[in-house]
Amino acid sequence: MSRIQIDRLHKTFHRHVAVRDLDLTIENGELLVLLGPSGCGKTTTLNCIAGLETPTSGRVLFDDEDVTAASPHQRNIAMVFQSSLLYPHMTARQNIRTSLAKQKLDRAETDRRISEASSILGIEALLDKLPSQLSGGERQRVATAKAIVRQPTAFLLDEPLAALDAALRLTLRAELVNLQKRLGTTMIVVTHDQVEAMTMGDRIAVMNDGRLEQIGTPDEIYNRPATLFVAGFVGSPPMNLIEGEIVTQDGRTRFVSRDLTFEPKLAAGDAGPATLGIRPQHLHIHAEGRNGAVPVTVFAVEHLGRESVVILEDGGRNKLHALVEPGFAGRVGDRLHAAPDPTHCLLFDRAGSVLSHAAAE
Amino acid sequence: MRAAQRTAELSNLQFSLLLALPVLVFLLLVVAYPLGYALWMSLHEISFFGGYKAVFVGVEHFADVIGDRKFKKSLWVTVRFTLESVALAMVAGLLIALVLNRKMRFAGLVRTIVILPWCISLYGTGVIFSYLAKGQTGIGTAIAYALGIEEAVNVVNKQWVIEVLAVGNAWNMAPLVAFFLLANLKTIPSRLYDLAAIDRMSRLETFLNVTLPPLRFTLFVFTCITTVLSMKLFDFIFVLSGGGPGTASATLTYRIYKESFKDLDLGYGAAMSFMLLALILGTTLILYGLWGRREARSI
Amino acid sequence: MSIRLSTIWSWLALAVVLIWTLLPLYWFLKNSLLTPDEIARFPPPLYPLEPTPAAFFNIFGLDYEMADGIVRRGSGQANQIIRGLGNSLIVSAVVTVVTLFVVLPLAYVFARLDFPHKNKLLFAILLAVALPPVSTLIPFYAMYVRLGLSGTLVGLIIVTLTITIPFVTWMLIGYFRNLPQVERLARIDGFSRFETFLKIIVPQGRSGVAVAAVIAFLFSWNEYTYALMLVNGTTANTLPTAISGFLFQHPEPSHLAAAVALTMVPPALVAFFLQRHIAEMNLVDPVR
Ligand SMILES: Nc1ncnc2c1ncn2[C@@H]1O[C@H](COP(=O)(O)OP(=O)(O)OP(=O)(O)O)[C@@H](O)[C@H]1O
Ligand SMILES: [Mg+2]
Repeated sequence: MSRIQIDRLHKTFHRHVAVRDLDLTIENGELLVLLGPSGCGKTTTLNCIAGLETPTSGRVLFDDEDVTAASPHQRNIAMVFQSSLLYPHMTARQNIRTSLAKQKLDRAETDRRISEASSILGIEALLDKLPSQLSGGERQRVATAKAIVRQPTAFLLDEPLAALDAALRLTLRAELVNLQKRLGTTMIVVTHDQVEAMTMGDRIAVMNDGRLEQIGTPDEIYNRPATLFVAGFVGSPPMNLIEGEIVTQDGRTRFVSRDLTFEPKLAAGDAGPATLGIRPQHLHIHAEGRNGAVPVTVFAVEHLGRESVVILEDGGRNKLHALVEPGFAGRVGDRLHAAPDPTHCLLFDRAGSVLSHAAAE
Repeated sequence: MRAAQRTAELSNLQFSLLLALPVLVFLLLVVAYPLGYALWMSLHEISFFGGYKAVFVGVEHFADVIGDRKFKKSLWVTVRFTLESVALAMVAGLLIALVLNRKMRFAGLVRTIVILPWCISLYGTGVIFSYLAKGQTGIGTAIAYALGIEEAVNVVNKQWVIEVLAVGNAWNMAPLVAFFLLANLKTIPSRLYDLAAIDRMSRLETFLNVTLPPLRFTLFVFTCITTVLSMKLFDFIFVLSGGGPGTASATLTYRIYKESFKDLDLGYGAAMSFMLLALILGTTLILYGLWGRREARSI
Repeated sequence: MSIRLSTIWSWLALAVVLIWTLLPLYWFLKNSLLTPDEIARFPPPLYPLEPTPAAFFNIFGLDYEMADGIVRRGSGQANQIIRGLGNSLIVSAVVTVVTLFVVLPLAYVFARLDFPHKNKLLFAILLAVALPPVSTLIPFYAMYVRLGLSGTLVGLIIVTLTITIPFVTWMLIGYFRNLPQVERLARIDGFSRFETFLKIIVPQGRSGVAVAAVIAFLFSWNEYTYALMLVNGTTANTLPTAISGFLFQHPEPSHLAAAVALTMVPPALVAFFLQRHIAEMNLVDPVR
C-alpha cells in the first residue's frame, strides 16, 4: 500500500522524447487508469514507476521516499506486461510460483496463494500448461495471476485485458476492481480503451504525446474535458467537433461556423479560431430547420439496441454523431437538421484548451 | 548523474564487462597478436639461408602482391570457388531443410543421415571427393565401364577442378545451413499454409509468400558464414587437389601456404594474407550493406 | 491426382537428398571393405565383391585372417591412430566445455544488452571469425615455440578455442536475440542478473546451448590445419593428422577409409542425440 508520486519525470530514447515533464500523484489505495493513444508513453511511464527503465530526469517516490534508484524488486511492485510476458520454458504454475521465489514463504502458504489467485482468474485447469500451449487470453490471465500472488505495494498492469474476448473482459474487469478494492492496494492500469478507463478508474490520467493532458475522475474527464484532445479521445461515439471562429461584435461574443452561430457566455478577448464540442446525446435531430441548427444528411444509422447512433454529414462533409431513440426512422440520404444543446456546448481555443464549461453552469 | 542514482542492480555496462571482459581480452590477444605479428612479417624480408635475417622493406611486399599475375589468378580462383560453393551450399541446404520439414516416418533417422557430411572433417571430405572424382578411382570411370565406354572419366582436370572443389565444400557445409533453416521453418504457423490454400496460391506462390520470407534473415546470415568459410578454406583444397592440376585450383589460401611454407617467403605470404583478410571482410560488409541491413530491419 | 503427384515429388526430393548425402560417403567408405586386389583393380568396382572387415582390425594394429588363409597384417600406424583417437576425444571434450562456458555469456551480453562500443567489439569478433588459419599459423607457431606449447594438447586446445569461440558466439547472438524479453519479468521477480542468466536464459535457450555444443565439438574434432602444424608427429597428435599418414606416408586406401569411418562415429553419435534440438531451436518464435 503506498502513495506513488512522479516528479517531473522525463524519458528520452536516443533523442526521441517518450515522456515529458510528467507530474502525477497516485493516492494510497487508488486505482488510477493511464489512458492515451498508442505510442503516447503509457508503457514507458509505467516502466519508470516499476523501475524497469531509468528516468532521464525526474524522480519517483513511494510514500515520500525516493525510489528512483531502487530495483524493481526492492520497490515490491507486481506487474503484468502488455504482451502478457511469461517465461516460455515454465508451466503456468511454475511461472506464478517464481513471483514468490524471493519472498521466503513456506510451501503451504505459497500453494495457498497460487490456488487462490488461480481461482480468482479461473485458470485452475491451465496450471500445468506451457505458455505456448495457452491462448492469448489465457496467457493474460496467467500473467495477472502471477502478479496478484505477491502482496505488493502496487499493481502495475499494462493493458491487462487487451487480448480477451468481450465477455471475459467484462468479468475480469470487475474481478480486478473488486480485488483492488478488497486488498486496498494501489493499482495503475494502462489502457487505450476508454470504456475500460471509465469503468475501472477512481481517477483517469489522460496522456498524449508524452504529456499529461488531464487527470480527474471519470465524470470530470467525460463532462469537463480540459483539452480538445481529451474531449475527442474520451467518449463513444466520440464528441462532435465543429471548427469555427469566435468573433466579438457590438460587445457580444459569438461562435460562428459554416452553418452555425451560437452565443456562449465568454469573456471578450477570446476571439480567434476555435472549436465547438458537443456530445452525441446533446445533438438533437429535427426534421425542420430552425435557429441554431445545422442542415445535415443522414450518412448511416447504427442500431445498438437500447439506442441508435445516427451518423450525419454536414455541408462541409464533416461527420457528426447523434444519439437517438431506437425507433428512429430516418434513412440514408434524408435531409435533417441537427441542433446542439447550448447548455452542453464546450469551446476550445486554438491551442486546444477549454474556454467555457457551459455544461457545468 | 546524481549520487542518488546509484542503483542496487548492476548496470548493463558493469554486467557486460563482468561476463565478457576476460573473453574479450583473450580474443583480442589471439586476434591482435597474430595480426600484429603478420603485419611485422609483411613489412620485412625474412631469410633463413645463411642465418636468420629480417630486413625492413616497408610496403614493398604489398606493392609486389598487387602487381603479381599469380596473385590475380588466385584471386579469381578464390572468387569463383566461393561463388559456386555458396550458391550450391545454400540451394542444397534449402532443399534439405524443405525435405526434412515434411512429416515422415523415421524423421530422426533421416535427419541423422543428412547431418553426416558435416561430421566429416574437411580433410576427410577432401579424401572422399578425390576418390569420387579422380579418373583412377572415380565413380565416373566405374559407370563408364559398366556402360561399356572403356575410358577413364577424370573431372579433377584444369577445366573442372574448381567445380569439384565447390561441390565437395558445399556437400560439407549444406547440413549446417539446412538445420538452421529447418529450425526456422518449424516456426512458420501451419495456419499460414491454410491461408495460402484459401487464397488459391500455387505451390510456387506459397513457397515465395509463406515459406521464404521468414527464412530470409537466416539465409543472409548463412550466406555470410559460408562465404567466410569458403574464402578461408585450406585443408580441403590441400588434400583434394593440392592447388592443381598446375595452378588451376590455387586459391589465395593455397598460395599463401605455398609462399610461406614451401618457398619460405614469410613476408610476401603475410602481405598476401592481408589481401585475403581484406577480401573476406570487404565481402561480408558489402553483403551486409546490400542485403543484411534490409533483413535486419524487417525482423 | 494432384495429391499423388505432390507425394511423388516429395519422395523424389527425399531420394535426391539422400543420394547427394550418401553417394560420396558410400563410394569412399566401400574401400574399407575391399580386398587389396579389388582396390588395385581398374576400373574400380561398384561394390565390394567379397566384403571383409579386415581394415577395421588392421588400423588398431590387429592382424586379420581372411577366409582363404591370407593374413592381413595390422597397420604400423596403429599406435598413432589409437593415441590420436584419445587425444582428439580429450581436445574436443575440453574445447566443447570451455567454449560453452565462454560463449553463452558472451553471446548473451551481445544479443541482449546495450553498452558503449558494442559494435566495435562485435566487429572484433567478426574479425576473429574471418582470420584464415594459414595466416595465423606462423605467428602461433613462433609463439608456441617460445612458450613451449608446441606439441602439447594445451597448446592445441588454446588454438582451437580461437576458432570455436568467435564462430559459435557469432551464431548464438542471433539466437539469443530472438528469445522473449523475459529479463524484465525476472527483475520484478527479484532475480539478480547472474541468476537471470543462469536460471532463466540458459534453460530457456537449451536448444541453442545444445547446438553450440555440437558446433564446438565438430570444429575441434575436425580441426586439421593447426594440428598438422603444431602437434603432428608428436605425442599430442590428433586423429585427423594421424590418419593423414595413410594418405601421404604409406598410402593404404582401405585403412584410410576405415579410419575415416572411425572418425565419423563420435560426431555422428553427438549429432544423433542433438539433431532434435537443432531442429527445435525456434529461431523466431511467433508466440511470445
Ligand atoms: N526502448 C525504446 N527505444 C526507443 N524508443 C522507444 C522505446 N520504448 C518506447 N519507445 C518510444 O517511446 C514512445 C512511447 O512508447 P510507449 O511504449 O510508452 O507507448 P504506449 O503508450 O505504451 O503505446 P501502446 O499503447 O502502443 O502500448 C513510442 O513512440 C515508442 O516508439
Ligand atoms: Mg504500451
